[in-house]
Amino acid sequence: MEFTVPHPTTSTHPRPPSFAYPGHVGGDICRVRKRRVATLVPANATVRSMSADATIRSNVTGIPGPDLTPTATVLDKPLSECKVAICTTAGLRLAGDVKLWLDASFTVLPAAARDVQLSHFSPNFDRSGLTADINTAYPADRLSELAEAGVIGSVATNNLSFMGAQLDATFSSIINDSGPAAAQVLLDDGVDVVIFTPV
Amino acid sequence: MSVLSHVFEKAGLATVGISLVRGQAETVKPPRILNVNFPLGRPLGKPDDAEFQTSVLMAMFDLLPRTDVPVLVDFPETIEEQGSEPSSCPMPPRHNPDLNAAVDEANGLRNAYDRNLEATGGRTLLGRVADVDGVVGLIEKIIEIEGGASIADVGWDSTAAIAASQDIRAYYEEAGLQLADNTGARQLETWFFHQTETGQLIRRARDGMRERDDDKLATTYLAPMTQG
Repeated sequence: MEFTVPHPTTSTHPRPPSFAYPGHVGGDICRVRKRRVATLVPANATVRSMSADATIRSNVTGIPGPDLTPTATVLDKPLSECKVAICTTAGLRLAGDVKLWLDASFTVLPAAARDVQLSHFSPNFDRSGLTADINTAYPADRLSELAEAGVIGSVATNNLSFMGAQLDATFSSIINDSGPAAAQVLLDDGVDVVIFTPV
Repeated sequence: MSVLSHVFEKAGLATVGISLVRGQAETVKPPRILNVNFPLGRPLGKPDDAEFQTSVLMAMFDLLPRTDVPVLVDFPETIEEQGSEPSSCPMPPRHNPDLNAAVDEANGLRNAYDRNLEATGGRTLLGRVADVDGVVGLIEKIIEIEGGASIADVGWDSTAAIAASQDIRAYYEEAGLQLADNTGARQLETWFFHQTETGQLIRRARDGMRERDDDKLATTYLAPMTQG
């Protein structure tokens, strides 16, 4: 099951080496900070003075995001009674439904399914860990064990998967469309707690 | 991910997330975040280490009672990527000198790929635009691009080109898991892009695309930005 939402502001092009983010976009809770312009490492660099991860971390740190006020949902019961779901931004999809996707849509992964595959468009992170053990980024087996041990109440019927590294710097589709729709999928299942795993 | 946590909390779900980039979490300020100094791509830290993965999850759950948001806590253990030391994979000898070296190499890795498929119970990251039998066909198109063809000339658009590169890489890395003992984060990546015929072919194709001002999205994501 896949939910696709319109994403009129999503760019279909890569960010150029110097990308000036918009200072303001529509929406009542979304405002993009004016921050320093992100500068990408020259793509033809052959010598790196720091590790690949350090380079990428340095590269993405400081990229502006929407200015959202954190709120905290207070649990009214212990973790041992909570239903827990995974929401991964690894861009996982079920086997047979693999495709690269660049927009803000999400896909539903039945919690019992283990035949999930990586569809994230970015090549800029290690893939061998996830190849060897899917729990390295999608800890479905670990949650099942914690449910059996009584640490958590139960696992959700479904987990969710988005594609991280969104090309839409405003995140307007996630904030206004696919994000609330995804939350509703989990609420309808009686989920109490969501853990997020990136790549 | 950090933005989603804001949306989910507002909808009434309690959330806690992992951050692999502390600076990014500091910018977006998700309500509850466990920052981990682990390799990108490995948010739970260690493959095939259930105890360690569970310890990360428990550190996340420890943050759930916190309402003094935003809360950002660092996981105490650091794991570094090892991309500067490529995996050591004994490669099969050249079998058919009449074939392009990359194609011959890919054919020679088929047994290792199949062993890994058996070891994982059939799970593979291959399959975006080709199955295992289609990998050589993808490599042959990359050879055409290296020779000067555009991605449109070989029948690809941006995402098809990126997906093809990722399928080829998945085939090699999955074979590599059966050939190497040292498979820390990014070690197979560096092995593939710098020590295999096909990985070097992809880098040359990407460089040619850049010089010809071919499709920018595909040029950017055909290979990792840090694999020059």
